[in-house]
Amino acid sequence: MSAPSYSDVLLTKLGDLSVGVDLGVIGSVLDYEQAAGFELIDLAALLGQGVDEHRHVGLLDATTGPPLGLCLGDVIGVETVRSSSLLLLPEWVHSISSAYLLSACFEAKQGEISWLIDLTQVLKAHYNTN
Amino acid sequence: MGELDDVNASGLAELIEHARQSAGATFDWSSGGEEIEEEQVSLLQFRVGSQLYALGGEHVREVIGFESSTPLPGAPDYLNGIVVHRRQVLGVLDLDEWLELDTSARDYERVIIVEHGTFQAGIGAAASTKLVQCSSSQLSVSLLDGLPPRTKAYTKAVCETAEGLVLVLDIAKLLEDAAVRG
Repeated sequence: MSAPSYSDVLLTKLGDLSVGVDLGVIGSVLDYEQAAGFELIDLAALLGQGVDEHRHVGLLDATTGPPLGLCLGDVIGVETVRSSSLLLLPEWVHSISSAYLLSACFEAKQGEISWLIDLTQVLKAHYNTN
Repeated sequence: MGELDDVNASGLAELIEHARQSAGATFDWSSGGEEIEEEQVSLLQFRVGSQLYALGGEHVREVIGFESSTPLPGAPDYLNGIVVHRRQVLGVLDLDEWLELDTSARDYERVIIVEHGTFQAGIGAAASTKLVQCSSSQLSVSLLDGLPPRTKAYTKAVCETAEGLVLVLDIAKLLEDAAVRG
């Protein structure tokens, strides 16, 4: 099976950071108020960002357990990331970055560097602390 | 006649002799030529805050302009952020933070891309970067004793110049440790 040549990501602003979350694992995007009662993961806190309020929550496609949402800050839109547009992080740079980042970033349409979230690590951290 | 008349064979010889004398590099066969054996090293001199630094030219790949860096989530303070140059991501080191020197505000206008083996990194610097030739007699290791321990650990020598003391960095050790620290 060959590797996919592109992936769609949900582009969002978390404080000063621009991040991309794999759209394949997000079932739907809700306004924050609609996610009342859901179990929520604060992505900004995991990345060390002080975000006062989130406008959007991404509902994660989960097969078991209560509905699980990812606080997404302000969702800007969807962007297609092609393998050719990935900017690989040098190993030493990745090793000193947050554990919740994948080892590549990309330049969004606005020219801003956007970080890619490692949802496996995010979920691991969530389940390990709950 | 014009200036070309001055450039005849004997004129050239005189010119060369004059240049030799001006440079003080007269080769003395009997003395073994010690005067020109003093080692010259090419250094890139730059400034971060109020401190002057230099590093061996062999480690410098390129000097590029700095507009802004993108902060890397979770990174320690010594990483100023990343810049993308020719589609390559570079981690930009903040020397003052790395050396634990408390100097003035960052005034980065350049990124010096340095490399050692497989490691590559950027070092944020002020605009005044220049290549200098330094003779071994200008380099002092005794002055290292006056430096804070962490600064001393990454400094090979201190060069006394008219502009002040220049810390000649051990960039190989710095890059290796920056990578290992992660």
